[in-house]
Amino acid sequence: MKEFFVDTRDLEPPGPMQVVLSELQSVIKGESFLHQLHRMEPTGVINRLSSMGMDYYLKNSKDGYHIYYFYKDDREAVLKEIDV
Amino acid sequence: MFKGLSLDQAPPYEAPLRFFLTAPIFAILGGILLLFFSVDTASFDSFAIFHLFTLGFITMIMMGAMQQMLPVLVGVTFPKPLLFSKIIHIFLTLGTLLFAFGLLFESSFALFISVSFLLVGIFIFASITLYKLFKAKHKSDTVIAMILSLIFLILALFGGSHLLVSLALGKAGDSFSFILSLHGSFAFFGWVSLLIAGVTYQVIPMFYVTNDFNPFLKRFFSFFIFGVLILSLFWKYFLILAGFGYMVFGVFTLKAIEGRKRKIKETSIDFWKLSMISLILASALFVASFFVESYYLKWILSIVFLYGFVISLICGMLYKIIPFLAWFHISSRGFFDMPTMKEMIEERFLRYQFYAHILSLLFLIVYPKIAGLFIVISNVLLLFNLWQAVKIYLSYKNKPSPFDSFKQTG
Repeated sequence: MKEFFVDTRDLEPPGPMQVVLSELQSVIKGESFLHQLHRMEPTGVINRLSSMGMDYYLKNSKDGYHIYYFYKDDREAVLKEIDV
Repeated sequence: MFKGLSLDQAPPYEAPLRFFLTAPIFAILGGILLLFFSVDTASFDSFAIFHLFTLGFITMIMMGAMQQMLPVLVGVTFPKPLLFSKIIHIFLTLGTLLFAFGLLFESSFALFISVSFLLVGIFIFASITLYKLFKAKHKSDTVIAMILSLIFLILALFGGSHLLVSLALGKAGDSFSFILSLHGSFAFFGWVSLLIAGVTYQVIPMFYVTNDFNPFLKRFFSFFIFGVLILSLFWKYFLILAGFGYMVFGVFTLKAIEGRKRKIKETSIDFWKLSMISLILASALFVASFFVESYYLKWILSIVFLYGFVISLICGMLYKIIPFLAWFHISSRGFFDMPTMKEMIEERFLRYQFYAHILSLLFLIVYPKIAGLFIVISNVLLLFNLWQAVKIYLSYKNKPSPFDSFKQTG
C-alpha cells in the first residue's frame, strides 16, 4: 500500500487539520493510507473519522505521535504494512 | 470516497458562544458593584460580588467550553445541543443574578429561587456531561480530569446550596463554616482547577506548538488532587498537598510555554504566563495560610488565585478558541477567503485589555473600589475583542455555501 506522510509537529492551528484534511483526499480505498507525525493526539480529526468512513491507528514514540489514517476496510492491510 | 470533515458532531457555534459572550457582562456588573459596595471577606455584599465572578464569569465560560470540547475530545454531542445550551444558560444566568440580588438586598425569596435555578441547571449539565464522559471509549487524561472536576462541581453545588438555604432561612448552624470551607476547596481546587489542568494538556501543545506534557504528570495529577481533596474531609491539612500539587503543575506549564518552538510575541501567551505565575504564588500563599493567621494573606490569596490565575487563563484561552471556532465553522461550510485566526482580533486591542487586566489585579489587592473601574474597562475590551471574531463568523453565516453551488452545478 502506498503511504502518504505529513509532519505537522511544528504547525500552528488550524494548519495540522488543514494539511490532514487535504491529504486525506488523496487516500484511495485499498491502495493508500496517510501517516501523520504530530506533537499531540489530534482529537479534533480522529473523533470525526468514523462519520467520514475512515479509521485510524495511533502510536506514541519519542519523536511524537504517529497517526495512520485509512478506510475502515483497509485496517488489517495497513497494520500489517506498518508492522503492528 | 472521502466525505470531508463532518460538522455533524460539532455543536453549533452559537451553543458555547452564548456562554462566552455572557461571561464578560457578569464581570462588568461585578466591577460596577465594586464601585458602590465595600468588600469584606465575610459580608453578604462581598459574597454576592464574588459569585458574579465565580458563577457568572468562570463557571459560565467553563460550561460553554465543555460543550465545545466534548464532541472534539470524546466524539459525542449533547442531545439537541442548541436547546440544551439555551436551557442551561438561562438557568445559570437567572440563578446567578438572583443570587447576587438576594444577598445584596437580603431577600430570602430571591435566594430560594436562585438555589432552585442553580441546582437544576448545574446538576442537569454536570450529570449529562458526566454520563457522556463515562461512556467515552478512549478516556484520555483530559477526559479523566473533566470527570473528576465534574464530581467536585456537583459536591460544591450541593454544599453551596445548603449554605444559601441556611442564609435564606437565617439559620447558620455549627456546620456552616465547615461546609463553607469544603465548598471553597471543592469549587476551586476540584471543579475549576482540575478542569483547567485537563484543558491545559490540550490547549498548550495545540495552540502554542509545544511538546506534549509529561505523561506521568498528565496521568496521575488529577487522581492525586482528587485523593487529597477527599482526604481533607477528615483532616484539613491534606489540602497543603493540593497546594504543592498545583505549584508543580504551574511550573510544568510555564516550562512548556517557555519551551515553545516559535517564540512569537503574542498577548494570549502573556495571559497564560501571568496565570501560571499567579497559580504558583497563590498556591504558596495557600500553604502559608495554614501556619499564619492573617486577613490580608487570605485576601491576597483569593485575589491572586481567582483573578490572577483563573480569569487570566480564561482570557488567554478565549483569544485562541473563539477565532479557531470561527475559522472552523466558516471553513467547514466551504469558504476559504476568510481572515486567518491571527487577523480576526487586532493584537493592539488584546494588549489594551491585558494592561487593564493587570491594573484590575493590582488594584483588587490594594484598593478594590478603584479596581472596579479597571475590571469594567478590561471586560468591555474583552467583549469588544471577542465580538470582532464573532462578527466575521456572522458575516459568513448567511452567505450561501460554495458547496451548495457546487452541488447544484454538479
